[in-house]
Amino acid sequence: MKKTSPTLSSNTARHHQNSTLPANEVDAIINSIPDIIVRFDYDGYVLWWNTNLEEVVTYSQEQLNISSFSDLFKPCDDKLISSVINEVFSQGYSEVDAYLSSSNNNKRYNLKCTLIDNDSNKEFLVVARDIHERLQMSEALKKSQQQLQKLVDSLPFLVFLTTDDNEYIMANKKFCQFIGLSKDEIIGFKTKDVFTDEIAEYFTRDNEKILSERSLVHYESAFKINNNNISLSVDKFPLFDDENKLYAICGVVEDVTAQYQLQKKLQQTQKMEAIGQLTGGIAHDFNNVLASIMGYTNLTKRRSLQYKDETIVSYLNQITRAGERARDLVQQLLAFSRGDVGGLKVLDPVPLANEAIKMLTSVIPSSISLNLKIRDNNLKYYIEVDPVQFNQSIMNLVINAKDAIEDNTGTIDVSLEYLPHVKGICDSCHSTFSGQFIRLSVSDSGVGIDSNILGRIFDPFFTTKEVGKGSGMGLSMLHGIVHGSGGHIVVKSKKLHSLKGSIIQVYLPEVKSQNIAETSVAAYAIKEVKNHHVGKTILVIDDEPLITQYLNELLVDESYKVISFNDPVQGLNYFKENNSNLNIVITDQTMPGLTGLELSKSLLQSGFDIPVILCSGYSDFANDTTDINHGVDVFLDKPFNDDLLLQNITKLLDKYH
Amino acid sequence: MKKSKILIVDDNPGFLELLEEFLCNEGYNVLTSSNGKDAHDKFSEFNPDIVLTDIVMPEFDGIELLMGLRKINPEIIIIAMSGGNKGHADSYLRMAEKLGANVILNKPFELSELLLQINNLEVAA
Repeated sequence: MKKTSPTLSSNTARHHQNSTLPANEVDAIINSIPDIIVRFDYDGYVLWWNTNLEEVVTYSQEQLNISSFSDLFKPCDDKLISSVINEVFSQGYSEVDAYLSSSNNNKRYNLKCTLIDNDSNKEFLVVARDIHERLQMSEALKKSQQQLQKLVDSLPFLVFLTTDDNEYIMANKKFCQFIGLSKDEIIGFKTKDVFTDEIAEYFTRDNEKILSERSLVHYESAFKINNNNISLSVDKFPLFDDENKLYAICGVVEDVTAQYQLQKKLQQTQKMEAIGQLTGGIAHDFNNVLASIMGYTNLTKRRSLQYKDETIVSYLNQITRAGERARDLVQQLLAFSRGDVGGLKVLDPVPLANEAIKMLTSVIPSSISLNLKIRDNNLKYYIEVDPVQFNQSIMNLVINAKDAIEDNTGTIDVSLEYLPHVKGICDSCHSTFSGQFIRLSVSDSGVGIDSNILGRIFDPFFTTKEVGKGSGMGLSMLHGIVHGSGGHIVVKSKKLHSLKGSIIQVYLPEVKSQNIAETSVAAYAIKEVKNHHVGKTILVIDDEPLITQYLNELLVDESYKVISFNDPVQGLNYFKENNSNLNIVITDQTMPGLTGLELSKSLLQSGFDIPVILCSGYSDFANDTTDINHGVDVFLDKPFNDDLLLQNITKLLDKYH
Repeated sequence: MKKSKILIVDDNPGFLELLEEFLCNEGYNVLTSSNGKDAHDKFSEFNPDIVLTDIVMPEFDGIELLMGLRKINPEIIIIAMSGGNKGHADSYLRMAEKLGANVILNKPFELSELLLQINNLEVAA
């Protein structure tokens, strides 16, 4: 502060003496401006100021009179006061953000410094505007934008804003990752620049619809993106400003490929179960129908022989042959729908595979090379299968492979290997599986399997072969046989990887066994205990001694402990005294003294929580058990079916224990 | 050799007639019944040598009939046949065999196979 300066009033009077406005009006105008206005001389000392300055600085008028630019302002950044002044005098203008040095308000001001060149005298005017509030608002806006960005970035969807012309204004992280561009890069791009023509077309159509209808569009569709089939759920809607003008279109896109696939798998699983139940039911009825057809044909043939009419005999032979084909087909349907595990044996798969390949050698043309590879030959491992069905499965797979090879020239590789740690998804039942498996693979150099039919290849009667060449039951039977053994199937079409051929992999669970005899289709081994409820105690109550004896044998053979009673009252009393040692009750319905239902009801009323299987004849409830429960978990129709009985025992023990 | 008396039991009328005609033609003395209960009632009066019975039948199934007849005549020859129902035929037939059926037949079967089995049983008896 080196020299005194005149006040605004005296200066304005002095500087505006030629003005058409009176001095006091000029003062009023200048003082009414919300900005701080200060005029400095060539040396940077205050010449005059408006009253706003006095309101915010701690200096007195006297002090202001002798203040310099640097006494009043301190630039916010590293910019030097001297450089600001130099800029003003050299370029006529300078702008800088600064604090008021002489104030306690700690506010930020934007200084606009303008040169006043009066020929002989160079001065400069500083207009300082309080930008504190603006900056705070800007900061708040920035923070809010960051929060919004974080929010949209954290959404598991692709979110974007475009103009009505499909030009990107904003996008979230997920969208940028999906596209492979950064947030900055994507701005200005159009849909057609980042997506395939197919998607770009969809999005353009959406926008047209949004513009015309001014409402949301939603759809789910599968798109091909980078050679992958991606299912997208798309929601797009218009954004309007306060004047109801559309300023952007917001898109929210969800990748629903996983859900879609899961849904498809669920449908597929249910389909296979439904087909299995249907075919199983029909097949048994067909057995009975065929028994009549084939029997009567046989009878007719015998009768007609005496008339020596060869034509009739040949006709009847045709009926017999058709009946035999139908009978075989029924067997195949039963193999597909097989729920029982009656014919399973614990076997070494290697001799079985060798045997099957030996049989196939005569069927496969020599121009096709058929190889069997047994990996880890020194390892001994066992599977639990029906040997005849296992043989049939290999035969079917190899014949399928042969049919897939064009011109009868190519290779079929059959391999067997032990895999101690498997994790996979079954292509026929669609469930996940893991553990120790024996893998039978049949690989060919044929035409491969189209991806669009992969979901149907296990359906009964589905075939790609010419009419009459394939029954469409081969893989359906494989599905039934493999799952009957607790196994799974994985299908790999090399077409998907631009290679030739396909690989069918059958995973059969490894079975530990100590008592394995000779293994072949003809002479197979001792059945190992598969039951994981070994030693559980079953109370059997049936007034018929032959039945209790039969069930005793059946259940003991499955490693259960059995206690049986022919007198239901005795059975009930035994239960009440020993219930803690019992795991399941199997009872007949019709018994003298106490029916099975009364017995179960009594257990329920006494508060015992034990699974009960009630076996009832046709007439016991006229097959209508819908309104009856009384503590019975499973109603089994008579006659007894041991597979169904054992399956239900396992299910109930799994559930209760 | 005197031809056996055979009681045929099946709830399928067509198949029952077929077996009746076939076995009659073969010279057997045949009586038919369409369910286990009826067969059980007819058994004592007819006193057959062989009972050929289906397993899955309403009223009184083949297993119950088999057990019932064994009580009347432990030596009676029983042939059980099945095409399956809710469970597979094998399972029903395994049980019938365990409970004492002399022969089991999976439907559909060849009539010549039935004849062969009857002949064998007759010879063995």
